Formats: sequence, structure tokens, C-alpha cells
Amino acid sequence: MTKGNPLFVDSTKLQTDSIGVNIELTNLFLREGESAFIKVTNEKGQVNRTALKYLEQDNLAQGQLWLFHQQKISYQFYITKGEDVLFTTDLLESRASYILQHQWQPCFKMSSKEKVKKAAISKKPKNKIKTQTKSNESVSKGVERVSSIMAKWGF
Amino acid sequence: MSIVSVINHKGGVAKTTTSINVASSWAKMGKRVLVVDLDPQASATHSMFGKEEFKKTVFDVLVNRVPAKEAIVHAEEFNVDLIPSELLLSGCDIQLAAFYGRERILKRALDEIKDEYDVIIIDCSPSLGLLTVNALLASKEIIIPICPEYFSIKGIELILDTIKNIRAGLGHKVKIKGVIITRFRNRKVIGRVLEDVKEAFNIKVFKSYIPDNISVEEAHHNHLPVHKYAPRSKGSIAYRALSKELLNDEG
Repeated sequence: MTKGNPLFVDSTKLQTDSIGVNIELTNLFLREGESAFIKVTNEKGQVNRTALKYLEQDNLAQGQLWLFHQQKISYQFYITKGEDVLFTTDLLESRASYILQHQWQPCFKMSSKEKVKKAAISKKPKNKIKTQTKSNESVSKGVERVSSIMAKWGF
Repeated sequence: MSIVSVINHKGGVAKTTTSINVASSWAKMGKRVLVVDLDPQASATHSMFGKEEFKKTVFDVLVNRVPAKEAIVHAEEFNVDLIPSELLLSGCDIQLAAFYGRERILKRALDEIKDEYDVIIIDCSPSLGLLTVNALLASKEIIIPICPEYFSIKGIELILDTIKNIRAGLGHKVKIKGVIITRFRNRKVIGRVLEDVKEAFNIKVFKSYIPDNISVEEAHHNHLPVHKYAPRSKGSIAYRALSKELLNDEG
């Protein structure tokens, strides 16, 4: 969790005060049938979930949750289609404040070598849940994910 | 435009010069203007009034809860009203730290008088502290003066970070009216700065650039706005053009 600057903490709110937290997931492109959600877990393990409203013209999904001011939370965004969870973000941490904003990581381009491997890998069964991870995952897992993403977007 | 802060976390970028000269130009165009000097160095106050001291200043408004109206003085040569500052303001952060609603004290004070003015300009301190937070929470818009050099871009990054934190932590959205290029010496450098700003940020850069002009400095020392001190100087012409451009840029 990043350090908090007390300059930007509302002095009129106590930690027992409930505040409306506006949620924004930016840089998001949803296809027909897909939906965006957020799952928030507080220190006590209580879980809050809400669907986000997609604003196509702004490439943005918005929502609101009521949380306790400056409460430590962990949260995760996910994209679903029907019953299936297609993508999720890493588990993120913060303190509840007025805005919870996250930039959805865009798809990355496949190199020519990866395109050659795609044909063989695309026959493998696809996992329903795809997770965005940091760059230290193995090359094969990365290629598998790239190929499924490329297939999904029709490249 | 109602309340606008002139802000940059970097010093020496002509925040005060811009604040007082644009304020005076607007007043000349018939606007009712109030300048709030929120810098403990009191540069705007000294530029307008020299060494004159005031019984009530912005310190009293913030810490002693004196109504803003009681601290206002009229600067004849500039034809604007001013809430002056003093060095005591430097200790303000410590005194305000425990106050309930410490972030919005200036906003509440200005709410009582804002209808009496067409525009209120807040000349901010370069440092990031409670004073700057108060200025941003009181403001609808901000203007960022920059000098065309590398660290000016860094200044914009810091401001954007501050605004993002203000929005997230305090729920207040302040609009960036634009960037003003000040104290330029070489037009070629401006071109590079414009490219850098466009590439890195999606912020408007005003077309009226302010040159590094000795008349502007001399006007400070003579406690006059540059349009009175040296009306035909490059600095004066530039500030007049900028003032018009800022007024015409509504929305």
C-alpha cells in the first residue's frame, strides 16, 4: 500500500463515517455482452461487489460503493461475459477515499515469433479466468495469454 | 471564471507577476477583481504596497477567523482589491493542522464575499502544504505559469499529482484552465516545450507568451502594474494579450 499524505485526508470525516466512494475504471473497452465489476474487501474480510456502468464515449466504467473513510481495503476489477470471468486485475490495496480510480491495462501487441507459436498454442484448452500479471511470468504463459487475447480481438 | 489559483510548485516562474498584472489588466477592462496573496513571502503584497504593513491579513482570515471583508485593502494603482499576506503565514500549517475542516477554511471565507467580485485570483505559494490545499479547494480553476526549461515540466507533473490527490482524498475537482509560458528568452525553446507539454499532458497552453522583460521587474520595484509603468514594453503588450485571451477562454 502506498504511503498516504495527511494533507489529502478530509479532516471533517472520522474513520467510522461512511462515504460514497466513486469508482472509475479508465482506458476500458468492452465488447457487447461484457460487463465490468469491482470487488472490495475490507480489513475484516467483508466483501462488497458492484457492477460498473460502462460509458462507451469515455472508455470508462463508473460505479459507487459506501465504505468507511480511510478504511484499508483491497480491491479487484473484473470483466465478465455471462457467467464467465474473462479478465481480472491484480489485487490492489488502498484506503477508502472519495475516488477510487484505476487504469485498465491495455492489450499488448504480439511479436512475429509469438505469432508462430500462436497456431500451436491456440489448440490448447483456454482457461476461463485470465489474470493480468506482472512481467516476471514465464514466456509460455505469456504467449498463451497473448494468443487468447489476439484470438478474442480478431488479430 | 470566478475563483482561479495561479500555481506552480516551482519558484521563480512569475506566478506573482502574472497574478497582479493580469488582475490589473482585467480591472482596466471593467472587471471587479480581488487578489488573495497566499504566499508567506507576500510578494504580491510588497509589489502593490511596498513595505506597508497591515493590521489584518490573510493569516488572520485563516487562523483567527476574521471575516475576509475586514482584511481587504484597495490597491489604487492596480485598481484591484487585495487580501494581503505576511511572514506569519509561514507558521499557518502548524496552527491549522488540528482544525476541523482545515482544508476548506479559505473557501468558507471567500464564499462570504465572492459575489462582490467578477473574479478572485489566488497567488499561491510554491510549496505544497495546507495553504495550497486551501487555495485549490477554494478554486474552480487553476493557471500554471511555467518557464521554458526542463524542470518546468516537472512542475506540471507535481501539480497534476496534487490535483489528483485532492480529487481522490477530498472529493474536489479543480479544472486546469491552462499553462502560461513566462519569462521566455528564446522562441525556439518554446517550440520544444510546447511539444513536451502536448506529448506528456493533455493541457491547453495559452498562445500569449510572456517574454523576460526588464520593464516587468522595474514595474514591481515601482509598485505599479506594467501596463502603467511601461505601456509600450514587450512585457506590457504580452500581459494585455494574455489577459484578453484568458477572459475569452470561458469553458
